[in-house]
Amino acid sequence: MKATSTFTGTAAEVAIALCVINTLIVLFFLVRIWLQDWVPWRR
Amino acid sequence: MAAIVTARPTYGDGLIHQRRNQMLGTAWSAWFVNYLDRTKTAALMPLIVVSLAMSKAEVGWVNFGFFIGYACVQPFAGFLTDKIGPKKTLALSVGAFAVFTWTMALVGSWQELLIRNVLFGISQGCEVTAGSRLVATWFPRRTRGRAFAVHQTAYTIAPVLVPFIAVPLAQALGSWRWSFIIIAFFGLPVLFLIDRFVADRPERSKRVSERELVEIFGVDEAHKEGRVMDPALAHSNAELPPGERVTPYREIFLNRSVALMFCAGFFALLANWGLTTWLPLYGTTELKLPLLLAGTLASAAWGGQFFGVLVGGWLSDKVFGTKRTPIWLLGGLGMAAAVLWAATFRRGVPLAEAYAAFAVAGFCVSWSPVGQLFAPYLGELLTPGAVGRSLGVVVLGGMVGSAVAQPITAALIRQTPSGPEYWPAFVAFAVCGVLASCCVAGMIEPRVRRPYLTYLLSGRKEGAWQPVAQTGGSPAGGA
Repeated sequence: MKATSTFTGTAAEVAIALCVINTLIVLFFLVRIWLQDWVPWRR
Repeated sequence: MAAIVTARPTYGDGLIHQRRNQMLGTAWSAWFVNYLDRTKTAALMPLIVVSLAMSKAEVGWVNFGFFIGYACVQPFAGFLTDKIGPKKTLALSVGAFAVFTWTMALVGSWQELLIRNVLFGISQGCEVTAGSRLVATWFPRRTRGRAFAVHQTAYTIAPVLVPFIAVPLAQALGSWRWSFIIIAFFGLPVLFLIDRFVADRPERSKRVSERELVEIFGVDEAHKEGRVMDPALAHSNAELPPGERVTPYREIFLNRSVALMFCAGFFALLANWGLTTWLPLYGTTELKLPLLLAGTLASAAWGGQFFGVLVGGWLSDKVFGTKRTPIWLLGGLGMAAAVLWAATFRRGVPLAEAYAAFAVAGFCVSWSPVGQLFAPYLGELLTPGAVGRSLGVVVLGGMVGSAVAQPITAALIRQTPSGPEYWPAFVAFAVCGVLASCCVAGMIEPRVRRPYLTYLLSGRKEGAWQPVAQTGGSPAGGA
């Protein structure tokens, strides 16, 4: 197995894209859970 | 906190229809992913060490960083759980898991890894207080032991499964970094489950039926509304939601049983992490076993812990009549006996005998105040609404024990011309087991209002212990 030191080229772009998608979904759920007591349609 | 619910749904009696079981499954998943990272980092560490050109001392610092972050955040995590609620704390912890797991894939030096591990330890330290508070609040006293046992199986299963997930991913994708990118996504379904199935309190969830509410709190308490949500701030039990009683701060933090639980947790986790971390090396260097077989010694200990938490929870609920401390008393002594047995092993010991000793040691080490039953115990000694704060103190003791376990074990291994000898370390673990049991012997067993040993010695007479602020009303977990 190769032990890479960093991502390079296309692998780096794919990795960063996955990280950004992951973080956006996390933020979506956290905001949703945080606001549940305050927005009328979730009461 | 959600508004008081007026109209409630109806549903069947099936196990998975019960909202408390759905909540338990979600808390289990959160606890599982919490353990996923620390065990997958350990499994992939040989590759990470090569990739980042790390020395053994740097590996030690990186591992220490996680434990120290995890330990330091405990008192704060307890407050956070009780103040903003376990649902948000759990969501924060799982969200941080997803984000910090992918950051692992981008680290370029051991210093970056150290900072990441400290931050990761801080974020993951919030899970245990939240999950424990949820179980203490959602389950009636008579089933809390078993429910929390199910929750605790997550930490025993993760170390067994993770090598089969993380290592094949790294092999298939050509780099250990991809394992972290992929596993970061494991947190997302858990966040969905938290959003869907978790509520801070059963009576505040509009998904909980009238019937289930009565089952959790009993007929008398089920319809209490509760104007003050924090048991430390209320003046009478009537102000609080169902299942809670007034518990001032002095009762939470100046409590002999909580202090003894802190000490017992220190000794128990020192022995647990000292044993399970060093077992593979012990197998290869002292017993001269092949690497694969040596690794399975730790699996035997984790397998023992899996059965230990399940059997302990069942015994506590069904055989000991919801008493919790007898299990911990037996656990420390049983672990001491099993580890002393293992201390007699030398090269050529039958493998079945070694497996049996370490499985029994794992089984018994899970019967500790930081292995199982701590949420039910604190919910019954204090009140479910104070489990977060009190558990923060207890887990701090355990995590300090985990952190010092590594250097203490290393210092106790004797180097001889024929190779290292581990028996002094095993004797030290046995002493830790006995000391943990001694601490438990001084703790109040709420069910009989006195320490369990004095209850037995007095011919099973109940004691006179009362909570500090017993202002009337039914005790916590009245159902």
